[in-house]
Amino acid sequence: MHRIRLSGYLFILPALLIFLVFLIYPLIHTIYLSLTQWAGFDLSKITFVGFSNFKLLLPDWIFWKALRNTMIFVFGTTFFLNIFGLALALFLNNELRITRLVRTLIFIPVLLSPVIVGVMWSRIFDPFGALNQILDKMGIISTPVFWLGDKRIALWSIVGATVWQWVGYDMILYLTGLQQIPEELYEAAKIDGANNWHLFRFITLPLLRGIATMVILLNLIGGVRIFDVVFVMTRGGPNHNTEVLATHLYEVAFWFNKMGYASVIAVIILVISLLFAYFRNRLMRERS
Amino acid sequence: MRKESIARGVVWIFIGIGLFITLFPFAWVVSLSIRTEKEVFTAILFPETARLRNYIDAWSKFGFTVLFKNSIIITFTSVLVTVFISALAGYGFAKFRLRASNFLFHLILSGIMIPPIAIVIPLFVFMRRLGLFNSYPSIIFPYIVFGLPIATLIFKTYIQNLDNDILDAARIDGCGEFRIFLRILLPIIKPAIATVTIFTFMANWNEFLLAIIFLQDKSLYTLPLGMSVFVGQYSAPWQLIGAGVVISILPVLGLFFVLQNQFIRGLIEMTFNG
Repeated sequence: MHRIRLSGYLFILPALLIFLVFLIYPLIHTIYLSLTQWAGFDLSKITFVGFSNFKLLLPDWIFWKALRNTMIFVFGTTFFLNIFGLALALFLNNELRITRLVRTLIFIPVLLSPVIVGVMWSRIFDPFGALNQILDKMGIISTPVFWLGDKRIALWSIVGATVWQWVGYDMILYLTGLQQIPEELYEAAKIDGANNWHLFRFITLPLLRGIATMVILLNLIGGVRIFDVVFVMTRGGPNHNTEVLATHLYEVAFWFNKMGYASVIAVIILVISLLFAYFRNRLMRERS
Repeated sequence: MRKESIARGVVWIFIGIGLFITLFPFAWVVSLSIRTEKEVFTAILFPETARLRNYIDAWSKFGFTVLFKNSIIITFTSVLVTVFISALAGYGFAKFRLRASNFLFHLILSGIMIPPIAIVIPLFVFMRRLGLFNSYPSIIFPYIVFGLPIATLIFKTYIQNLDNDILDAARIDGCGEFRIFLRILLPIIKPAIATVTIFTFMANWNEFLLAIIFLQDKSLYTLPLGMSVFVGQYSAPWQLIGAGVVISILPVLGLFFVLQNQFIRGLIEMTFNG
């Protein structure tokens, strides 16, 4: 028994070691670095400065803009992803061959690298790109719209590209939820004279609540991490109007070499992520 | 009855619009990829002359040989290691009664909540100190560590539900624990291996943030990194960007159509377990 117990630990050891070295240690180090000041490349000159890096947040208007943009992005994408994802799931919840094909096609963008999505959509959104061409041909616009250059529109264009990529994912998750609802419930309600709206309102919707909260939180958590699409499509421009927390961190750390202050932003991203994760865990526990 | 068929019509219009929006960008990029310079900004979908040479030009201009090579090396290594060590750990957590088991398992699982961006700075410092910065390992280790939590969870859940009989029988026959793992367990947990492999593969093949921070040399660029850098150059011609996008999408698409069901099942499993 003793020998077996030892080998049990040996099985866990490689995973645990890598985990401690490349995740837990850096995580603790992030918090420490946020209390230090140093010029990026000389690692021997790290000095402890306490909380003074945190004081830099208040006058950093780009940070506040990035925080605001991140929240708009997070809630914007989550809202549209769930509306369209749920609608598609409801409409495509049968086993006809054509529906199966449509589902597969709508799922395809999920597989792509966000970089590729960004590259595709930055050409489509270009003043000379496909979208303006189409709108022009249809007579809807007469002068080109600057989808990524106009500060009022740019962030929403990025939200659009992101929703385009991930809506298939939400659809699949909602479909799984729909398929768990027992058919008998609908049959029974129909016998009692319920119409389609009643079925949706009093059976589907309440029984999807568990899945919906899960999908929503998943989208929120994923949204906070947004980096790739913004970086590829706008680099945070025009004039930081699409700047998000991750791109701001990248700029501060790797262009301006302010590693201490960048770590403060890292800590803030961490706190927001953990907050969303905490809600998710609580909901998961309630469900089981 | 009439109301119902109107409703059905509205539903199909909605689906049609959705489908058009999903597919149009692909059609447009394919059309872009075969255009001549003259038609780049004039044609919408159907150029008058198809120029397939764009693909050859794009291949050499982007340096796809190098990009594919790097992406393959980095993705394959990281996926292989992730699968192996998380299967080991999953077995350890599932079938051994260890005092610290619960704590350690939840510790590793908590990694799911940590966004990579939150630890890139110390990782950057760390990799420089180790002398690994700007090399394959500098990115392979982070990929492993971020794939680990969910993979361990999948393996643990799967192995927990297995019968103990086969394992016990082998133990009585005097098999060592590691041989039991290699010879008996690994073949039975193939479905879990497939799920973890597909998911980790997709995540690492598409990853960008860590790549752009840790890989500085052009000779180390992965596909997404190479694409972003090339496209970021102001002078990159559109028809070549189109061809480049098609080239980098095709392998993933091919893989998906072969393994479609595993893909979607794996994705659902990963989401609902995590």
